[in-house]
Amino acid sequence: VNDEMTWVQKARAGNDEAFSKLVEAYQTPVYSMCFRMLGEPEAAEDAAQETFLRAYQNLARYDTARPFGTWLLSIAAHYCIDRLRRRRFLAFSLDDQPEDGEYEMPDANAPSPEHETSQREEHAQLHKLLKHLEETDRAALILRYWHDASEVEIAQALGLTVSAVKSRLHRARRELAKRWEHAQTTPGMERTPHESPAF
Amino acid sequence: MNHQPFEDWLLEERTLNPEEQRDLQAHLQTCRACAALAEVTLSLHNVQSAAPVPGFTRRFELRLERARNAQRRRQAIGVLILALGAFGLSSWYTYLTIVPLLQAPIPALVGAFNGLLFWLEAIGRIWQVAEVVLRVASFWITDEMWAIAAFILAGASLSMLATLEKTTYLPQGVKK
Repeated sequence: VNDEMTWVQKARAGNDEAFSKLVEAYQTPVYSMCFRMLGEPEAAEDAAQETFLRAYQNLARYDTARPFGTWLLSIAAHYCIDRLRRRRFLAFSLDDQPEDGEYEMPDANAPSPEHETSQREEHAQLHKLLKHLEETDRAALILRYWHDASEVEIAQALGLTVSAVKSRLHRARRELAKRWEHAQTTPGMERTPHESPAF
Repeated sequence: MNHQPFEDWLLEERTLNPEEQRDLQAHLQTCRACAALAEVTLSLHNVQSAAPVPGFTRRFELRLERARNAQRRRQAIGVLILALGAFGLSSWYTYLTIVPLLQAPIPALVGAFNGLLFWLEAIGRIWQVAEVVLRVASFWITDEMWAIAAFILAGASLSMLATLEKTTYLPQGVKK
């Protein structure tokens, strides 16, 4: 954290190398956020780059009392939400795009290849279902589960109240569960069963 | 099927005691909706980050350089447009001023002198009127009324400053 603050101070003073260190440190969470929000690696790369560019241009506005990572994720979330809304406005839905084989899921630390495969399929399905959620609900869910953000941090990042965050998270999980159940009962959309029950 | 309180337990993700845990397990055997919610919740807890293709930082540095160049270009174009505009305006004004001066220098100089005199005279008159108004006002308006007026003015200024402070606050999530 001390290193991070030093880099922020140096970057604010115009040191590009210090900002590159921040990019190095936060590229994975920011990219991951964008990837889960937008669903495609190319769009995620572009959004992540744009997030860092905006952060660089607005570094003077960064409130050092808040964690730098949360601030970055907040920029990424807002940018992705805007982008998804524009995309919806232009009637280019994710539904029109191919779903299979368009992204690579990271390897799971699974004890067996079967488990690894099933986990990968489970993650892939979850990734597909995310796109059906409303943009802000999706951002809240990603911040909560992919980035371990607290409800307060999510509220700060998305400009919502804590109770709104809570209700959005509940709504999003209910919606995911509904679609998850539907995917399991629809022919051709079943998940590959894995060896251990969920609960 | 009644999903309560099991749905709430799952949504809240609270720690369950052994008895509640047993009840939940029994419910999940019969309720597909709650089982799906439980599976989704578990899946969400096992999610993993996606990493960008190697070389992300280098690509960002190149993008930053491109953005800077574009900004420099925009600034240069802005300065050029301003310079051309200023040159055009000053040329036009010079033309309007110089041509009559060259054609008939004496009447033009007299006209300019008269214009200057007119403005000096007008300022003097306005000052005289203001003095009379202030004298009359000080006669009719008591010290208390002046104090109240000053108080109201100060209050209005403060509220305006507060409004400005509130409306110009920039949230942390930088939106374009």
